[in-house]
Amino acid sequence: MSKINKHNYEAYLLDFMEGTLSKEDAKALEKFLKENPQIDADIFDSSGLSIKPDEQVNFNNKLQLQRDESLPEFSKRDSLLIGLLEDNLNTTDREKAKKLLAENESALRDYTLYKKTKLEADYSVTYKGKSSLKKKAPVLSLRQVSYASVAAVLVGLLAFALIRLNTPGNTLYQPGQIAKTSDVIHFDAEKTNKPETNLQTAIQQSEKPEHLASNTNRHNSGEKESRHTENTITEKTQVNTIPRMGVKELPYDEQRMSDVVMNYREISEPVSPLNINNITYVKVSQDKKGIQLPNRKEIDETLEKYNPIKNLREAKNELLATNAKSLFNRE
Amino acid sequence: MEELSDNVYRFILSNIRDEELARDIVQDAYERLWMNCKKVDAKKVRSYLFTTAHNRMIDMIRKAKHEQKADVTPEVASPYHDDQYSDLSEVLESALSELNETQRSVLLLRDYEGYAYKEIAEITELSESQVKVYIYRARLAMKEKIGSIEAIV
Repeated sequence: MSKINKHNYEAYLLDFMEGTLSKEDAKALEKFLKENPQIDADIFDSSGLSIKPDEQVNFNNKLQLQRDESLPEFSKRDSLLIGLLEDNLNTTDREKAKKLLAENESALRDYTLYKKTKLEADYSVTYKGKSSLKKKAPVLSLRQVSYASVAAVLVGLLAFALIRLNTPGNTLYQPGQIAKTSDVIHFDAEKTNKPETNLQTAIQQSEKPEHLASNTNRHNSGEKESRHTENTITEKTQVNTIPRMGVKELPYDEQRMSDVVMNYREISEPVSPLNINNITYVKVSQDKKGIQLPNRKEIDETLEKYNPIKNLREAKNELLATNAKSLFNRE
Repeated sequence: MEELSDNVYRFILSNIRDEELARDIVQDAYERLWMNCKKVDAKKVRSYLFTTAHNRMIDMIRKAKHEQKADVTPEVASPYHDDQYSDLSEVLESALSELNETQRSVLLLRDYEGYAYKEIAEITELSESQVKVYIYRARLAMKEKIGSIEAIV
């Protein structure tokens, strides 16, 4: 009796299809099927055993398998979708992307997710403290401040001096008048650090100014005395002097003035002391008869020589040294 | 010009999530701008501010990393968990926090300010192609994050 029957033939049949059925059993199965044609007709229909591919089913994610040449780490599909979002696709790729979205539901779903990655700023977040961001006043270095200050002071002084010079009757000394000591300042660069404490000392020192020693030696005693007298207004009025940037200022003192001016000659020409920042600059007139101002040209030349960025002290020193030179080198 | 401070501030704050540091960086960027205002083309002020702020931010991040200061490091863990998002903005914030600093910077400059790749490249001192790659990577990573969270929710 055959071991294959209606109850177990399916197991033999499957082994046969798997190729694991022995030849003996295969013959037995063949014999069984011949003896049972009904089973053979129902089950062994060839169309029922073969599997044919469904040609209607296609793999829609072919682009997922391709790589973008310019972005090899991304699939062509992702590259198209992101590129579409970024709006940097060429015409061809743009059409491909649109076609992909139209035909592929999965791609459309992914593109929807990509669109959600677009970040939007929260405009309620603002920077509090904008006023602190405004440009601050420029911070000048000490050197810049110094130069700027000197320049400003010089300009101011010059303007003030010109106003004074151009104001008739303003502290104008007529011939025969003697300038007030408060208006008269003698400048001697070599004495800037030697403030005089009393009139006598001042006179003694002014009799033999160091920087005029050579000139003094060329003169006889009479000339010396004469020159000394002529210089009085600037040389001998150093009373209670105040060292100030190389300038000795002579505060007005009527009694001292009377002591000092007894040897003065009359001022032969109107003079208007050049008052710069409350310091008056005068020089003895060329005619030896009094004091006079350094003229505007002399001032301009001196100030121009010293650029405003130079030290004010130098400018003043030069200006007044010129006066002093003029004072002591008179004919 | 001060109005640009809002933009710079938002950009920096979105990167480092530290208001005080963000303010310092904005302040620093403006100070540098004023110091160099004679050298900066008026048309480039916006770009200059972003560049300066970005550089300053990168310096601070690197310094913080070096000093192991977790409170400054931008790669801090997101305050959200996958099941705690209430809206898309929180999901995006979480996804943004998971990007590396370069991806985050280029994406913010792109989306917040609308900069072109070339401009972003100038600000971040990258090449245009690098900027493109960083942006694509950032978008892909964020899309994956958003997709995974939507699948859960």
